[in-house]
Amino acid sequence: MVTKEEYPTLLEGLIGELRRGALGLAVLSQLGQPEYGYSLKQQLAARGMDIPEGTLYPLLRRLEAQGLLESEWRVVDEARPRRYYRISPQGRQALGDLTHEWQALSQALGGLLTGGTK
Amino acid sequence: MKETLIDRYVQAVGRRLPGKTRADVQLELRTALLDAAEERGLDPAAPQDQAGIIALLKEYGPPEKLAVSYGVGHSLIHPQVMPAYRRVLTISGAIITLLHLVGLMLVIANTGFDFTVGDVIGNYIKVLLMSFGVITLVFAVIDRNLPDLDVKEPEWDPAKLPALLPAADRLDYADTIAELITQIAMVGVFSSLPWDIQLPSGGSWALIHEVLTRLTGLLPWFIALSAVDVLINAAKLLQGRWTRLTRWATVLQSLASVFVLGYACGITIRILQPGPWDDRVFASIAWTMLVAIVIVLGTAANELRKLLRPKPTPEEALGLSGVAEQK
Repeated sequence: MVTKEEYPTLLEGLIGELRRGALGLAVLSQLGQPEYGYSLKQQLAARGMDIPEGTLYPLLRRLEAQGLLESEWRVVDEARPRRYYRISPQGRQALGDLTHEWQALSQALGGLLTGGTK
Repeated sequence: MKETLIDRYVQAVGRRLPGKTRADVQLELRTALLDAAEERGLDPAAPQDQAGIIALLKEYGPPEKLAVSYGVGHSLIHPQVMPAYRRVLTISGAIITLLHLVGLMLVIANTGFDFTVGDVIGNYIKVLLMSFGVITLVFAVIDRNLPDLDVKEPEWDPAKLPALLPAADRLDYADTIAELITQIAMVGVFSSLPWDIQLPSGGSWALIHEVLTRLTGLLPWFIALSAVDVLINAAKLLQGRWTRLTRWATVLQSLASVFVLGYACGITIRILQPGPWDDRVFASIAWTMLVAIVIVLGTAANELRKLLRPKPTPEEALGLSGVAEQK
């Protein structure tokens, strides 16, 4: 049993777990056009999905390693080369499948939550 | 360009990443941090903005945690434990080396050269490998049980990040340890060779005897030069990097070696040249010594070049120059 003082930490952890599974889907959904990490973060934050930088950049690398994203360096400013990411054909397929799965899950969960407890 | 806390943070993360992806991740992370600082109106080099930069870095979290989130694979020792693991290996390696040297000196003082160099080196390597093996096992166990321990982590302070260590000053541990072992062996060989071989007298043997006698006179110099090299490499291992002092010491040791080798070469040529030798034999001896001199001179020139080079920019120190263009 957590104490009143420990509850905020517990809740933070539960929210983190809840969001974690959706982050990949959120990122894939926004990379139809090439974006670099920081602009993607701004874009996601503007749509209510604020992902900490320490989570976003490693996630981009992981999705790229899984073949779901493609990336390239662009040097516009010598001091700040930027790595641009965009969704790959395989990523597009995964995005479609995950969106379908998400909608089914959301509908089921919605039913559970609005239906109340037994 | 001035080194900033952002550069130090990028370096600290990079140290915990595998070499294959290090520069790439570091470059992207640095750009992201500079973008975030700019958006907040912060100048990473301005003293009045340091509190803001520290707050920004705290949002990214401790370097070891960020490195772990890049998923560096299934290594035996994970990045969060790696710095402590490396430190323990370096300290134990230095202690074992020191104890072996002291032990060797005590044996020589008490019983003279009553041992073979092979036994001494073999025992040294055996103890070193056994210790490293035990340390690795202990750390692997700690690593796997760390998440289960309820350890209260101290608050991470970005202001205490270590200064940038230029790529040229990073130590090649394998190379340094190999050189240390070689030079310890050289001290052993120079100290225990049977230089007083009884050669047949007369004829050309007299010339060889003279060369050996003269070279034996240089023996204390060869031993001293190898011993200095042992000390330089031990200092490098203890400090975990090249410093100006170890670099200057290497230059001076190399120049002294060139001088002694050149002198030995001169003696050999002067005594043997008038002898009844095949020209090819004489030429091979001279060329071997000359190649050794050129190699040592090259080492001295290389270290001198690094000493005189201008201070690298943060991008150069981090090894990020040209990374984006190469990809």
